[in-house]
Amino acid sequence: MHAWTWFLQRISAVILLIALGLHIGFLHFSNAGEPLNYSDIMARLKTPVLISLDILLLIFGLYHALYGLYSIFLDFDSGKKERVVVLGFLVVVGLGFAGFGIFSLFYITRSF
Amino acid sequence: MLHIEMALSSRLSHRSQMWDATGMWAWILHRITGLGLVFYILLHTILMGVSLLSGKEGFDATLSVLMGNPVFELLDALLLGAVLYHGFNGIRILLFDVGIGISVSRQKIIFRIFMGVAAILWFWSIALKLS
Repeated sequence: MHAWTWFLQRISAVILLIALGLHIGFLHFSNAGEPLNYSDIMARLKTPVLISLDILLLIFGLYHALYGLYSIFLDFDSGKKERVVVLGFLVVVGLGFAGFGIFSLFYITRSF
Repeated sequence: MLHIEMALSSRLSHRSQMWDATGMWAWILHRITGLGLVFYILLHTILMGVSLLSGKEGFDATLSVLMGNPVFELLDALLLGAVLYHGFNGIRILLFDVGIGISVSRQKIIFRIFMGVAAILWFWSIALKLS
């Protein structure tokens, strides 16, 4: 484990505390009692600040989650080869989910 | 025989001390909520991405299932509880990393205060949703 990846885990934690707080607040409590629908989400995603917040949340959320998973794996005895395979798998999963999430956000806002 | 009993007693006592420690439970619960949240973020990304790409009808149909069903609302409340626990315990860990409240007694106080705040926020959020 490298110092900078651990440091980025802490940085991502701070970003998530803010971004996730805003995400939950805006989406679920700013209009409590009103059910969410497609039009609300589209209006929200057309705002550059809010779509940036979602992308930030997606990237740092995935990093924090998958690095957390890797940290749990490191708590168990493992060889170098196993560590490389697991890390490689998590990087692929992270890039795949981030790519899909960002693509879907931009695709729907473009087609709106 | 006495030697074995003493060794066993010492081992059990040590184990009991470990498992009674607030920090140990805080760590275990941080891991459990963390694993739950990893599963959730992957599921949430797929579900929201696919339903948004399926258009207005598909998205609204997905939301009506997720937001109108008592089982999913209960899971939402549990999810918020996990987020609040993981977040507030995470702040405690960040404070520890920068050297704030290093002693065991201070760690316990900080943990209890943060858990109190998290519990208040959790119950307040649930009450707001139910009102």
